[in-house]
Amino acid sequence: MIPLNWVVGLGAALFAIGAVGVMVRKNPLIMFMAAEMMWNAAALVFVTFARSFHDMTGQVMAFIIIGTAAAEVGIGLAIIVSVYHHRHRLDIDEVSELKG
Amino acid sequence: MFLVWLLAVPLAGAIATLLASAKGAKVVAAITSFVALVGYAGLLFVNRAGVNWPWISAWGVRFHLEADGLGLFLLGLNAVLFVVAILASSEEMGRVYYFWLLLLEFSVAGLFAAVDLFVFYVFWEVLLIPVFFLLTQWSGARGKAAALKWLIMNLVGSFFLLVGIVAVAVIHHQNGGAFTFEISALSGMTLPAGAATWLFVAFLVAFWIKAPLWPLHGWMPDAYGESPAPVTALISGVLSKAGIYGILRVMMPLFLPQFRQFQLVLLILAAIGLLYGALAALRQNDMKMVTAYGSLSHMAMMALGIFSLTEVGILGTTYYMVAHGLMVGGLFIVLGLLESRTGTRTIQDMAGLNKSAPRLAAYFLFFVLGALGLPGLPGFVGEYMIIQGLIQSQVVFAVVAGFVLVVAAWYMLRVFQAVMQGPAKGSAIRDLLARQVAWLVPLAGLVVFIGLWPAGITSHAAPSLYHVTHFLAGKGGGQ
Amino acid sequence: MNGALGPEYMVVLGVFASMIAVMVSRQRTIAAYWAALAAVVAAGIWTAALWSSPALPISLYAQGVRVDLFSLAIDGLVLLASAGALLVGWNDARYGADFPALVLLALLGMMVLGLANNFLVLFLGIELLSLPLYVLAASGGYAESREAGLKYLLLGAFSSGILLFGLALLYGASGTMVLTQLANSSLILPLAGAGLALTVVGLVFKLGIIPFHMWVPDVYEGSPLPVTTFMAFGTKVGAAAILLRFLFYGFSVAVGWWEPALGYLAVLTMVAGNLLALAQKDMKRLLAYSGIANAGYLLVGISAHNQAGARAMLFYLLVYGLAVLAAFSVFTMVARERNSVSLNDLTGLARRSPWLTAFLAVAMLSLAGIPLTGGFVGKFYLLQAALDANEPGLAIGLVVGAMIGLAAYVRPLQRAFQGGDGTSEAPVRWPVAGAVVVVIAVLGTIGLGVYPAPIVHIVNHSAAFDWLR
Repeated sequence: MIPLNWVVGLGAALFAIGAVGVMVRKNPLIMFMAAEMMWNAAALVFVTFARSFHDMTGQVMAFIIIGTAAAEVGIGLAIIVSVYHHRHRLDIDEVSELKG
Repeated sequence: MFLVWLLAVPLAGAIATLLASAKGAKVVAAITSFVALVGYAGLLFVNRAGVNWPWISAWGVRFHLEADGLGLFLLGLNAVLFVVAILASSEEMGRVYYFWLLLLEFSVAGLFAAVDLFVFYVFWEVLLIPVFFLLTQWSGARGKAAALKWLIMNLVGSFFLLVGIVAVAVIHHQNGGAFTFEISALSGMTLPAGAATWLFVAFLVAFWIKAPLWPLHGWMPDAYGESPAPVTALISGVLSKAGIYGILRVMMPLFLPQFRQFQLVLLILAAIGLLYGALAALRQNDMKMVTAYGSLSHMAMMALGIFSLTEVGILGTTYYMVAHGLMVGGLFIVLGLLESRTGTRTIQDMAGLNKSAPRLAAYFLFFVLGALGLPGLPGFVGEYMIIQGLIQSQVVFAVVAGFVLVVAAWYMLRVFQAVMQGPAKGSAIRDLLARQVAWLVPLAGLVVFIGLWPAGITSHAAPSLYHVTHFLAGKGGGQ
Repeated sequence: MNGALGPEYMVVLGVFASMIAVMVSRQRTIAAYWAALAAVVAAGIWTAALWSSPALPISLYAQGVRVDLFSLAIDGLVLLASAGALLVGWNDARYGADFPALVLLALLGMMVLGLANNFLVLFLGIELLSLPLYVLAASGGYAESREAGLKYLLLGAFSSGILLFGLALLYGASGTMVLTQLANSSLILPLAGAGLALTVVGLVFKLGIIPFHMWVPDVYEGSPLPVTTFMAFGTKVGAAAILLRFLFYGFSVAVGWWEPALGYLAVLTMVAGNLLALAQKDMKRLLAYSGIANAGYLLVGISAHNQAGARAMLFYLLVYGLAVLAAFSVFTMVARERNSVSLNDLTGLARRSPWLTAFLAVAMLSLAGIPLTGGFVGKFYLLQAALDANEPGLAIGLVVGAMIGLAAYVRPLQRAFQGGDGTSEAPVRWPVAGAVVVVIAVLGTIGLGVYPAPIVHIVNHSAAFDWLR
């Protein structure tokens, strides 16, 4: 059996990769994907702990995360596509009508 | 219930002016201020009962107003000066102008009657708003900047005052007392040594700015210079007293040990302000600014009276507040009448106006003499008492104050001579109209009256200051 | 007890009703708005009826949700926010047919956040709040709006990811997902510390606390005005409610872990938020930075960590919300078919529409914290809480922030009272729905300033965290 720490470490690594991805990449699609990766890292950690605690709530949480992520992807892709429709290019630096 | 009258009438009148026609607003405002004055007469002669209603019971806040000896005559000053200021304003100002004036009268009346710190603070800050808008809309070219300066400087002070007020109440509560903002309940409480100094400074800065006292008078030249004469008269006549009054009403009961500890520093600061105001007044060529800086010097005189920490000095200040308010208010209004006739405020552009306008010159001279402290007029009595207090505590400062009295005579008479005497220059001006005399006479009469009978004020103020002066005497402060 | 979730059920029914109304008529229809408003009113009545229920507090679904006076107070606040947003955007063709349904969905998320008592419900509430708002932000039909939606989406997903990972670590550290059991469980230290930090970061992201605020101004500016109104008020209520519940229920023992950090964040946010607001020319951006600064004030109530703090935060949410509703509905009227209001648009407003200017003045003065408006009483309450917690630094930060903020709020007023250039002298038209919002909000603001005692009484009951000081 794989030790608990390894799996949690994998989750943390995935989370870090995702977080760095959101901050570094310019393409909204990739940024969105990286954010989803952070979610999935969390889901993985939930499942891991749930197994070690023999507690079902963590498993349920993972399902909820997956379901919500699907809803989020639906909405997110719709927004990204509508932005793309009006620009025909995707680069977050060019999406800058709003000076933040 | 006359005290409620003093607040309710201006508030109702303020709303009524908004509903009146543009031309009728002045009439409505004048009637309102007169009714308020009648209410004050009732307060003075019939019934002085205060009100004490629950407001926010969860925090122990009560809507508690009292008209005791400290505030009683300042309430009168407020009622009188607003009548004069409204009568002296032109109909052209529009209804919103009168709305703000009456709102100001309401908040100042509340301030001078509040004996609950929360209520005091509410009125303290509310009165900034009408002045801000009066300066924004009805002032000279730099009025907007003056308004912002007024608001921001005063709010910097008041926000620290707010922290101070809440801190005092919380400390009182944590020491086992009830959660209350009542000044009488909080007075004499022991503050933790470290916090006490900070709280003392927080309170003092707020009042110091409002008065204004040197070196926190930055808002004053612009506000006085830009505002229309009636508003200037109100700011210098009534509002500036709020700062001094706050020190007496709020700080004296709470911070007596700190006053004793920092007495010398405070006296030195006030004395510098006294000299600074007088010397700055000498250098001005704008007659309004001469009066403004003269007033700054007079405010420092009042502060000296308090910081002498003697009974006679403090009493002198309570008296001088009322006297100075009436005189400087009258002076600013006369200056306004003069300015509207000549179209200038520069001394050098005017001369010999007493030929064409003898009555105006006479009233001008009257208020000038009052401001420089001629014996017989109330300014003298107040200054005399303050100097007596200073002699009892720190003689050096009495000498400084005496010297400044001489300078005061110099700068005030310099203006009068230049403007009124000598060979006439430029075209003749119209003398005072009968309706203008009609409200200048009672004002001047009132000044003479309190000058001849100062005990009428001081005998009322003394009992209200009893616990302060008692404390001072008990610890050997008053000698 | 079945009725405990009644307000939430009403909102769900409202979502269906307004969607069906749109489906039946196959286009934008006013019936959808009426259905949504009716649902909000019904939920409000139900909330009021629950208030005096003796069965409270009620725990449902294995302690997943907790209906108590706190959650009911939050319900009331977010219902007010959504009613305001619905009326500000009443029957406006620009925002699409789904506007009322989406507002109600986000409202449901906010209500869920008010009663969440475990990680699952917390997460669901956050997402239920966020997902419709992404759509709403992008629903303006112009480039800035789509861009706002995209930014909101990306940063929202990012912050939800942080939050989720924090929750996962906390679950690992404690073995429980229930907030009220978290306090009693033995925590595994490094894991719990990291989890708490990440969770709090995720939540203050939603609240818009500096330095996690960068999405706020852009999203506020780009979104349609009614949506901005809703975000400014409703989202703040939801995020503040869950942050308070999470920390007060879960971590009121391990106070040293979060209290100082939140205190510093609060001071930083109040001061910097107001400073940034000073420079703004666009009114939506001004209110966005003001919203950031006000989130800092809310954080004062949380980091004071006493009963007075929780009460002050609830009270402040109401006064802030009313001021925001009033200001935004005035801006909506001034903006008309455009979607933004700049300082220049306000020039001479006093002459065009004196009453509207007066209402705007009340809202701005309340945000600035001038007495006789609710804003003053709210700040006063927060000061009490901070000083009662022996945190003078928080109190000083609060007043310094308020001082700076005042200059920012006064500038539009000065412009409004300035003479206009004579180009657009026509008085501003008042839509009935917007007028209702602004009048109620202004009356409420003044009412809370003049006689706050009843509301103080209500918040004192609802924030009864009696294990605190």
